[in-house]
Amino acid sequence: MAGVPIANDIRTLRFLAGEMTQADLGERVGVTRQTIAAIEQGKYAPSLEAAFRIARVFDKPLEEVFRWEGG
Amino acid sequence: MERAAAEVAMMGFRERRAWAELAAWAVPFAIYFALAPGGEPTDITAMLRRLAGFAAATIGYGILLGAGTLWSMRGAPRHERSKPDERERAIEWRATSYGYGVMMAGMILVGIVLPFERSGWAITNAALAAIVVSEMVRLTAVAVLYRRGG
Repeated sequence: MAGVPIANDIRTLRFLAGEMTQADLGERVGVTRQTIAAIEQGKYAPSLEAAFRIARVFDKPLEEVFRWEGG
Repeated sequence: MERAAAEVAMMGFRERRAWAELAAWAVPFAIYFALAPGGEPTDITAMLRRLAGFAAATIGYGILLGAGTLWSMRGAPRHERSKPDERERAIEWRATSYGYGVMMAGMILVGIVLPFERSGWAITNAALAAIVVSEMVRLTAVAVLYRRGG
C-alpha cells in the first residue's frame, strides 16, 4: 500500500497539540506507534473509523486532517 | 551496525516477532533437512534416529520461538502486545494468503505428484518442507510488508 493517494496533516497537528508523540496518538486512537508513523508518511491509508478517531483526538473535522490527492 | 540496531529498536512487537519466528523456522529445519539421510530406514533404530532428528528440530523451533518472543516483548508497550490493530491485521491477512498459496502448491506436489514416484520418508519430508517453506514465505511477507508500511 505504498504511496496512497491520501495526504494528511497529522505531523503538524501533533506539533500544535504540544508535540504529542506518535505513541500517545496511537494509544488514544487504538493503533500502534508504527501505524501512526505509516499513516503520517503516506505509506498506509487508515480505515474510515481510524481516520475519524484521529480527527477527533485533534478536535478537527476529517477534511482538515486528511485530503484526497489522487487523480 | 548502529543503523541496523536503531531500525530494530523502531520495530513494533509484531514485526520483531515475525523476524524471530522466521529464524525459529529457518535455523533448526535447515539443519534438519541438511542432515536428513536419504532412502528408507532399515531397522527400528534407524527409524528412531530419524524421529529423534525431527523431535530435535521441533524442540529447537520451540526454544528459538520462546526466546524470540521474549526479545520481541522487550520494551514493547502492553497495548501493542494485546491485540493487533487494523494495519497489522491487514498485513497478516495478505501474508497468510501468500503462505496459503505456497502451502497448496506443496500439498498438491506431496499428495498428488510424489506418490507416483516416491514413498515413505521422502513424502514425509516433502510434506514437512512444504509446511516450513509456506510458513517462511508468510513470515517473510509479514516482515517485508511492515518495512513497506502496510
